[in-house]
Amino acid sequence: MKSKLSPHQLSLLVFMNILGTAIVFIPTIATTYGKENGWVSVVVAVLVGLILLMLYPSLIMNGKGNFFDRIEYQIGSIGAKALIVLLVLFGFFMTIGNIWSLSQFISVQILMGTPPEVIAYTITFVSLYAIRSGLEVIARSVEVFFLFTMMSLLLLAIFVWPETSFDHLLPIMQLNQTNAFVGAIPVLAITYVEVVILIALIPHVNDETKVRKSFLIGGALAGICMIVVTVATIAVIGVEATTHYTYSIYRLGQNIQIAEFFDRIEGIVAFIWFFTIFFKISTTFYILMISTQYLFKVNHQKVFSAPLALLLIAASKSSLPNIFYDFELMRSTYLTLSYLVMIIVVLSIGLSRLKRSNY
Amino acid sequence: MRILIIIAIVILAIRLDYKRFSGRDRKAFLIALSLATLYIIRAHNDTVWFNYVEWMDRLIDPISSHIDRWLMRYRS
Repeated sequence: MKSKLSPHQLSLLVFMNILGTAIVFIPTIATTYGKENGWVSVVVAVLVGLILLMLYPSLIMNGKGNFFDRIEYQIGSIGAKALIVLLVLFGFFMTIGNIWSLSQFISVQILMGTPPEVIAYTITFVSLYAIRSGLEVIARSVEVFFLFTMMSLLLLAIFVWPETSFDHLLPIMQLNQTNAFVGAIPVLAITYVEVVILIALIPHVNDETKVRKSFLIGGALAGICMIVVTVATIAVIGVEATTHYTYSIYRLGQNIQIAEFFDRIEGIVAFIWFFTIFFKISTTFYILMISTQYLFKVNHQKVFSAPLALLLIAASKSSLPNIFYDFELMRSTYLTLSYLVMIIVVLSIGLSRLKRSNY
Repeated sequence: MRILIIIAIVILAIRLDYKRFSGRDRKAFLIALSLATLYIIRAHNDTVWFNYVEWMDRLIDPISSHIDRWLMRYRS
């Protein structure tokens, strides 16, 4: 049975996938480049990202059959297989990075002393359960948790408001102008560029005419959240602290103090990240599962689900030693890989589609 | 202890999925599960024969090192 998504659910999945890793790392990455203009890097990234999101759906929309049939029709059987292998390699990289960064975060900030492996096992098995239940289940649960995520973000924005000092954002675009624009490159890599993988979900949408709108709504909403969070982080804890802390948004939560009643409610930040990254991991894991089914030509979709879960845990444990390596990875290997994959996917499918339409 | 947990997971996976699949699917499942189990056991003993991230790192290093060097100029 083919899983179906509504355009609304797709936009929520896009939102969660963009915000997944970004919400915690973006303020630090953006201020590393643009300093007090770090928020400008995020604004530029969001604008470029929205153009990319307009482009992605046109690669797959309005075709016949599933995602793999459509790619095969566009670029042939061998080309399709090569492209899916590339997407699998990238998706695997992305998932292990996400699993491990969440495990590290929980093990360092919340459950101190608990080995990250234990957390990696827990996250992966919950995601495994989610993907085995099907895409509809993930999509329905995203509708529930979206409200919770938005509420947490709104509470965070409201609670930090009394602590803000907009002097931290000054001078606006007087210094580090080039840096602010260059800073958009790594920001884009972990947000809008990597969601190219979501084109695999387009054939599952019941009304494909609304796919582009869904991508744009999800992307715009995630963009607004990222801008608000970055501005708030710089305005509350300052440029130096934002650059210094690995999880600067978590530090922002620790600053909250309202009428000596609400104090240190950084857990809110953790909630935002848990929910967004869970859906990101589950969606990518689902795409990995259906892609391996296509590559190995097995009948049942779930054949590789359990082995993939074990491989994800093992690879994340053995490949990523610590959070500093995560940052190193994000600004070199992951950045290059996500841009490479996006360019190859867009060019190979886009050009062949263009060629076909000319004939 | 860790090995026991892994074995328990593998047994659970077989019990849940083995009957569900047949023919080619079952063979593929068993092969994939065996390889994944072997890999995860070796990962816990820090003796993996293939480090995925390191491999990917080395594969795209000719491009990524240039990009990293260029970006470094704009980092504070």
